[in-house]
Amino acid sequence: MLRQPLSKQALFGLAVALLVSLFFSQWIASEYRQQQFAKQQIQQWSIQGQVLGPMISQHIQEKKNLQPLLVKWLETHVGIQSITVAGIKKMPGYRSKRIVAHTDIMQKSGEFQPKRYSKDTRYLYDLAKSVARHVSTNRTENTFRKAHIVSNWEEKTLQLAFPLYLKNKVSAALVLKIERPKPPKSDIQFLAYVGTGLGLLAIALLFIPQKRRYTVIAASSFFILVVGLYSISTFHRFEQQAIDSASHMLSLAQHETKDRAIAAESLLVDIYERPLGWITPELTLNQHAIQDYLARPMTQLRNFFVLIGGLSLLFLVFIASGAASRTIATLKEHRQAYSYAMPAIIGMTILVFFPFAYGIMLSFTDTNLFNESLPLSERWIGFGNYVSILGDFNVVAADGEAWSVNYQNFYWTLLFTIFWTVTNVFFSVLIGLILALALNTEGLKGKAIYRVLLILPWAIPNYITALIWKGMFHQQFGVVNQLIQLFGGNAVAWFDNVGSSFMTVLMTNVWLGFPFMMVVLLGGLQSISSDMYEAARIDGANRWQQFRYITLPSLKPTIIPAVILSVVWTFNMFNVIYLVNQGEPAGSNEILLTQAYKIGFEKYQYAYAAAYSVVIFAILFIYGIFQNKVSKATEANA
Amino acid sequence: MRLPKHFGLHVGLTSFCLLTIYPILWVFSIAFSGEQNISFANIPADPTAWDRLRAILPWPEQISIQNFVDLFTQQPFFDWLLNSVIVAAMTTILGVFLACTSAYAFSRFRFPGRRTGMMMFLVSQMFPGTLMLIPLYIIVTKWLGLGNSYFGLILVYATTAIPFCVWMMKGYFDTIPKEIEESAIMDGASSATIFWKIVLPLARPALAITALFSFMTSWNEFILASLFMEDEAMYTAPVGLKFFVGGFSSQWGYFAAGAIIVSLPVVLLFLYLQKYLISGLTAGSVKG
Repeated sequence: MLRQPLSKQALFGLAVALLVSLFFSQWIASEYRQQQFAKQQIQQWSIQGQVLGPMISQHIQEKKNLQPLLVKWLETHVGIQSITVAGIKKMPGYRSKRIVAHTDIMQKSGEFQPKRYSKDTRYLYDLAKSVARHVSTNRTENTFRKAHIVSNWEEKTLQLAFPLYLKNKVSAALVLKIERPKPPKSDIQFLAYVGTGLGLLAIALLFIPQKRRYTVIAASSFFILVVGLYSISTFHRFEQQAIDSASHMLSLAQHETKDRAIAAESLLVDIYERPLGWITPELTLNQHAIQDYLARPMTQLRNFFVLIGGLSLLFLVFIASGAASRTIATLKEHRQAYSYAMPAIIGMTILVFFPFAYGIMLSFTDTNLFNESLPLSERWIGFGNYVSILGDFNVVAADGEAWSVNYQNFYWTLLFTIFWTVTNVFFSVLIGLILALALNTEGLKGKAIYRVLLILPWAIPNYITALIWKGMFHQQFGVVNQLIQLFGGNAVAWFDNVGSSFMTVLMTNVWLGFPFMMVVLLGGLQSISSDMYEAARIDGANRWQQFRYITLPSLKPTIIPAVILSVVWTFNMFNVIYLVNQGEPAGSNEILLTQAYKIGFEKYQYAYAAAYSVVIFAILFIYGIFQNKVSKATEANA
Repeated sequence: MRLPKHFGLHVGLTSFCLLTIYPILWVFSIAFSGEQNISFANIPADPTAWDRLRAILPWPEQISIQNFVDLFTQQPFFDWLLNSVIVAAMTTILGVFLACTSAYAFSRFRFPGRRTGMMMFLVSQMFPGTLMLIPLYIIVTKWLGLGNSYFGLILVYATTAIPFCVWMMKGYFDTIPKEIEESAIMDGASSATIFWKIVLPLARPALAITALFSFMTSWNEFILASLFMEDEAMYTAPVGLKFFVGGFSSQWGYFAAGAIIVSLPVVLLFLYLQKYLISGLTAGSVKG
């Protein structure tokens, strides 16, 4: 009965989905396991550090020799290869910046004198220094941001550095060099799950009717069942392992504190030297605290499992429903077309569409330079950025009589951008039209020369133009101010005032923009037949009437597309604002695009900038739809 | 005495032309002044009208090519120029290859996803640069590790130029009669032969425009380049030019000399090809 292609597809789909999902889950689970293992190792060895550290500090304060203590400790603790006390500050009996005690060398020569750092041991000083720095940073900030216990995984060893406190200040670090423990082996038991799932489905297929719907449902439910079982057992195992290791640590701590006046629970600390609270006052394990401690990494792991499972399920349905085989058939049929189109599509997907989607996703987080590495779930803030961009209407801040404009407000920037676009396009069209009319005069000599000279601003790369104008508006040496002074005026500080600053960018951009308008309009003018003017003259129309009733209407199909295009260009004219006046003063001359750039790359608020850009995209998209309609209408009229 | 024909018009046009080319003369004058100053002449403490006028006349006090010499001997400008040339050339090759293969597919084959693909290409032109900047920065420099390398910049430039180039090439391919290819098939030519030996040579004018567009895109771009190329030795020419006069440095002489070198080829190309560019632009704008 299993010969039917339906069951084949269902089985194949289930096999692929299970393999993919369980393989990746297993892989991530084993990564997680390694991470937890490393953490446990650090926690376990930090028990030794918590016991040994205070003893060393006391020895130093009492100016006793450290060597016997360390040697004895080394003998009784299997796994520790060497113990070093690396000094960074002055302490009683020792000079600063020395290796105060070091068991490795002691064993060889029998005794040890405090030693300056050499090239080989310089890293010990760096390690000690960073531990001290971390502690003081956390103290001043009153946070737990940087690890007090610094771990260093090397090829064969694990190094742990603990702060040594003298009079509550870190003056040295205790560095334990530990034989690198063997990491847990990863198993391949997930294959058993795959087999179970397939077997179950094969049996079930014998009983259910051979309809696409049923086979898909059966395969999906077996997938969910098997993956669910696998996940539950994995999580259960991890929890058990955590509890086992905690109880192991408890017994270790109890062993260390047997004949000392320290409470065992004070030894179980995290890398910030904060007690983990794993032990109840009755000296039993506090399972609740352990589960809390595990909750965050476990949630992450679970999210990964859900993500992988969900994607695999989609894959399963895709195969089992026959969509996969149809897709393959299509791909085969149009093999040539796809092979030609593929390179560009892959490139666009990776470097255009994916970044776009990523940017949109980013806009729903609060990512900035400092929390980039946090998991996505912790950065997620939903529509927060959009609310603070679009929901902030405090454009004018009034303070009694005095009032000021908040130039950072989105609506100010939006209004400014619109004003900027409208004025620029208006002046470009005006100047372009006048020049086009002038150049269209019949019998004008030297037309070609004028045309080439007037088109030059368009030909020069606009960032160069922008920088040139920036130089010309220089307050002290710029030619514009020299010109003003020639006529007896005073030098203007162009970028200090909202209006004058706007003048600079407006002039620059009109200079950049009029040649395009001129050329396009000249083309439009040349296509108007002279018969119309002749007819008008015969009817007695004067020049203005000819212009108003013949030239302008005939230019409409030329002007409208040119204006539409020019609006988008001006709206997006990053270079002029960014290079000429830099949005000065106080960001009042910022357009949307430069504002988004500044938020992203000068304030490093990546997510906020992304949300800002999505808003810009929405504006452009709406404009695009409008543009499409208008140009269709123009085409229909023309 | 009678004034020549169109006298007023000539006066107006000439003065406007002077106004238009003034910034260009300004650059030339600073470039050939041999100094880093932004002004043409030093104004004495008690300036006369002539001194004042002298300060706005774009003519250097002495003519020297020192700025150009220094640019190549004392400043790393040659490296920057070389970086720009390498990036622009590779972008052109990659961009044209990607554009003409996929444009050929869109023009000649009917396959599922064709319309969607072309629509997506169009829409992607609307993505604002800043929205792309941050993800691109993260993807290229952090994930792919291609910061400070030619390859990262080339990939990004080539892909951003694709949509325009594809539409352009597709339009041209559409005008090439299918009969030519059909007869080639009859003669036993393979699909690759048809594409490389028949279609591409026929599309040479469009290839030229596409290549020019790709080249210009990368030659004139400076935002992405300034983000990706943090190492001074890897700057492209635009980033380098901004470096001369941005922030706290004001080496206007170097900037002016460099600006002339960088823009000259572009301006000449533009003037030479303006006919095609303008017709392409307006045609595109009407179609939306």
